[in-house]
Amino acid sequence: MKTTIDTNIFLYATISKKCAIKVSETYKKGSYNIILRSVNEETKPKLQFLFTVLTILRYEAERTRNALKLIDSDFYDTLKNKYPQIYKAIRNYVVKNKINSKKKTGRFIEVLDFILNDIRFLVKIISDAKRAYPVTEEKYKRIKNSKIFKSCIDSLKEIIKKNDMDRIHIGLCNHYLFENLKYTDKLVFITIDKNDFIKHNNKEKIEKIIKNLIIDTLPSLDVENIIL
Amino acid sequence: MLIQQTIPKEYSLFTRLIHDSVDKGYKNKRTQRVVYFRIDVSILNKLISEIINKNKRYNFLIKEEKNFLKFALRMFDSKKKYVSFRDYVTLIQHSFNSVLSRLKRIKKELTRLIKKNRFEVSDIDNEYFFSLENILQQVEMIDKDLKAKDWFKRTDKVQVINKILIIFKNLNELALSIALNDTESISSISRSILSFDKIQFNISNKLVS
Repeated sequence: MKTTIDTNIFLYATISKKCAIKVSETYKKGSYNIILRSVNEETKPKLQFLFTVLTILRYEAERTRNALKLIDSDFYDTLKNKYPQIYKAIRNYVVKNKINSKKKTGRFIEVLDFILNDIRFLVKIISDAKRAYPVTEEKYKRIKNSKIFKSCIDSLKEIIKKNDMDRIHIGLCNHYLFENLKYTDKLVFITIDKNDFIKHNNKEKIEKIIKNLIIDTLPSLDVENIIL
Repeated sequence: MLIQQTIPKEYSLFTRLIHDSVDKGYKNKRTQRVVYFRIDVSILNKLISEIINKNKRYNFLIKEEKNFLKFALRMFDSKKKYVSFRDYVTLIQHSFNSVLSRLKRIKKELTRLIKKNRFEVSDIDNEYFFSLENILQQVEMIDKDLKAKDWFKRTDKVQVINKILIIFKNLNELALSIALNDTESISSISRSILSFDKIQFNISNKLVS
């Protein structure tokens, strides 16, 4: 059975502490809402496409003070057509933060660097076959019918339906999986309350949540209905 | 759309010989000097002459590669028996610059084509771009560390230089595999990049500490 992880999972933040803080700050200000599509072998080409576009955007942003003009140019039509949410999220960020000076462009580049690092991290994870799916069909059925799986899907649907940015989804909790947990060959999808996540000191609590939320596959969601 | 750089076999062989010196060097007990090249340097000189002649016809060398060859030619010409540590370090730095510049050139060319096609390129091209960008990022980090630390002045310089050469050797192989091979090499390049983190961290940490 081929993997069931599809492209309908959004990645809001990775386990990278720096990125998490950055994302939580931007969420707090409500000015920045970047979403990346995640994460399996099927999505590798998509991640790499995004990497190409965002890298070129990053280098071009260095040479301009008017990031809006840059992103509005026809040149980024392919990104706009293929990933309208991501394009819109980046554009919103530029508009809301008025990226029109050298100093502000520096911040924009920093954000792009965070995203590029996340993509690197994700590609690295999914490139290792041992860490990828699938599970056996029997195991998949068992997981799919489990209460925890259903509640995760419901919870996730609810969050996405409400566009509830007070909660952060961690698409791939690789760090904890490999360092702290016994499920070293699985990917997980978890949802953590933003406050727990921001207070990174509360490692034990986060680990406990993760342990209780482990599932073996990721739910499929209706992404088209998400309003950004 | 993959970028194929034309690099003749002679140049590839020459750079491999330089980088292989890391495994071949030994200390002469009588003179107490390190002999970096076990092969007769006249062979290296001959090889350089062949590369230069070929370049006159096909013009494939970039500026940094020419500097690398010029320095090597001068060094091997004047010192038939021994290569000093100082010269060896300079040679390696030239080699490093030439590999780095070659990678940057490949990336520049690929970026130009991607831009020309407005990102409508194949998955392989994107993977290729991804690999290149990551190599360059890693290499630039190492380069920065090296420049900041005067790596060749360290007391354990022979060990340090060996470690650095291992990195250069890997890089050179990557640059050559990008330059010489076709799409089949992409997955192997990607794999190398993914394991490259480890090498970089190991070496860089040791240098900085």
